[in-house]
Amino acid sequence: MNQGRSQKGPVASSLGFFFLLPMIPVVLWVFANHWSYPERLPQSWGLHGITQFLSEGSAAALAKSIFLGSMVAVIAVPLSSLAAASLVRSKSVLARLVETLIFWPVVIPPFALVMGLSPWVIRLGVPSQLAVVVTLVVLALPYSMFIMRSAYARYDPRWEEEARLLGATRFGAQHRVRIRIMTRPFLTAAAIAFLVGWTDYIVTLVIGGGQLITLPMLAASESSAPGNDSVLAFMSLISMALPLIGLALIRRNEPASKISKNGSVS
Amino acid sequence: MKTMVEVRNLTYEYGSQSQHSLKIDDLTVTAGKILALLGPSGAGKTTTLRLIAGLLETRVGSIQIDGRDVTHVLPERRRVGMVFQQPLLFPFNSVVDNVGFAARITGKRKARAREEAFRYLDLVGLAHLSQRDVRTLSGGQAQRVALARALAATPLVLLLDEPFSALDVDLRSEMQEILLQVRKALDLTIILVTHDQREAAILADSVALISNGRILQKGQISDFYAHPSSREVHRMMGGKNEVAGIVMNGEFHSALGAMELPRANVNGGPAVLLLRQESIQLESGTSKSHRDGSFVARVTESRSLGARVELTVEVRGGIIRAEVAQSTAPNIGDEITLHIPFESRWVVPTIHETNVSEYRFELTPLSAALSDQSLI
Repeated sequence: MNQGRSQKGPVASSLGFFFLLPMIPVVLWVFANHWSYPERLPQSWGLHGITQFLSEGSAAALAKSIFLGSMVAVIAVPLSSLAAASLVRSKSVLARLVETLIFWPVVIPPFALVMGLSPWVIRLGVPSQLAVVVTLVVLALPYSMFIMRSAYARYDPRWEEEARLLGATRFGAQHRVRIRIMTRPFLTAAAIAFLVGWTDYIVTLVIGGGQLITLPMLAASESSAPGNDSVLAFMSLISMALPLIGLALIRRNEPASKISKNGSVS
Repeated sequence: MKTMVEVRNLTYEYGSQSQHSLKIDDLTVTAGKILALLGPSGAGKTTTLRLIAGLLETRVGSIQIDGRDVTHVLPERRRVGMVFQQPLLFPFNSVVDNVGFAARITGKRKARAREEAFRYLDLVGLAHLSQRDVRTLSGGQAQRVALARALAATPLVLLLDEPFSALDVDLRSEMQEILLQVRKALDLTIILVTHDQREAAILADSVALISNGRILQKGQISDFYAHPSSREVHRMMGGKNEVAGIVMNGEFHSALGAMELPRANVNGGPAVLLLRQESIQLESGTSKSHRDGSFVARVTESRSLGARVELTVEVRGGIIRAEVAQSTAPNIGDEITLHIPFESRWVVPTIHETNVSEYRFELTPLSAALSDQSLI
């Protein structure tokens, strides 16, 4: 037990180092106006990357990415939540079939799915932005569904019964128990669904037909031209920052506050 | 004595697909007493609790708590507390906030709710764990918190649905002791569901034995052993000997012979002698076999039960099982005298039972036994 605990520190440090190491040049690049090989540090410092990002309409791309990720999360999570709630309870063959279908996009490479869907979108005249959202929802569903299904499988409806016997109304029991217990998996599923929209490139490019310029699209075009390292670094930092903020918010949703013996809250 | 819970003519159908139903004609619990609902899995014990709690809808019958008809009252307004087999503590709350949950529901401030919660945590001896995350508690600790949480809602009746069955033997004894202390301190009325006869005997003031959705017998558990109301009760309580026969003139006639009965619980007609294996006396030798209720027998099998031994004894071509202390157990093959003490002779009528071949003790067919006694 103690040995396991004593090994945790070095393992965590190693993992942290492994993830942080590539971040060092990214952060340096954000504040570098000029940094050429083989110099170890930038030759000139500045906010060239940030100003270029703002002047090139990247803010609009950022907003579209946020919108796309949010739309995917807003649609996929309630859908997956409803599906998970009913699939956990059902043992029918039909339920298993539906479950398999929902998880199917994980098996199919996204590129194949997109190439298959693209002709349909054009022929049916579906607005490209709507088609992008719907396709990304389909791609996000298996992940959000997996999280919600696990959460519902662990959820015991007798928690609400106990709450009612302790005096809560039906609505009160749902509010005080179900929502509180399900908030964390709900937020986690939302974060994952958001990431599917936030990080997507292929669906936005092929189905969107180049009309929807998101941050990954902009990053891809910037990376193809030389001399854009600092703006690319800033884009990368923003791309990471938003999910990390989301993760921190989910972590804040931890139970149990500190209480003193006399009952006061700290 | 004031009646706290009264269930009348209750019928519950498990669903259109199911053949089973629960039917309770009359079940009462006196205020301040513990009633145990004893029975095997699927007997209807938990359903009965859930109906009393209001977690299942009662369509036929009535339920009264403290003189008030609560048949159609919502669970949150019945003033019934319940502890399930699993503690079901709210994972988002600390120990003290779990216990203070009911107070918070009534609108009390957090600090006040916690103050009250400490009283109940003290009662179950867990005040020192008040700040703990409930996910770090052991099984026994969690169940004690669940008990404190239910008590903190100040219920009129506490329903316990096999709350200790998932705990190991020592912990179960500890929990039983705590429950008895809590009952004493709060003068609570409790309905306990259990399949453990020992637990029912330790905790309950009275017991209702339930099987296949019907209450088979109510009263003192000692009576269930000594005076079972039916063959089914006898079997459920672990009784192993049944002898088919007939009651005539205060005597029981069977293939064993005629035996005088201690009381006329059966006036006459077909009956079955239900014998507890612990009540049978075995004596070495056959010299005393002429007494009433004594027979020459031979030990054919022996099975250790730990401190005691279960013996299979052949008597008049049939089989009887007896349980004796290890130190006094005869050996396999010994000729002995089997004695059925006068007070242990308990018969129940078999007038409604048609398949006498189901009896566990079959000396000879019943008709042959009866003809042997020149009764037919």
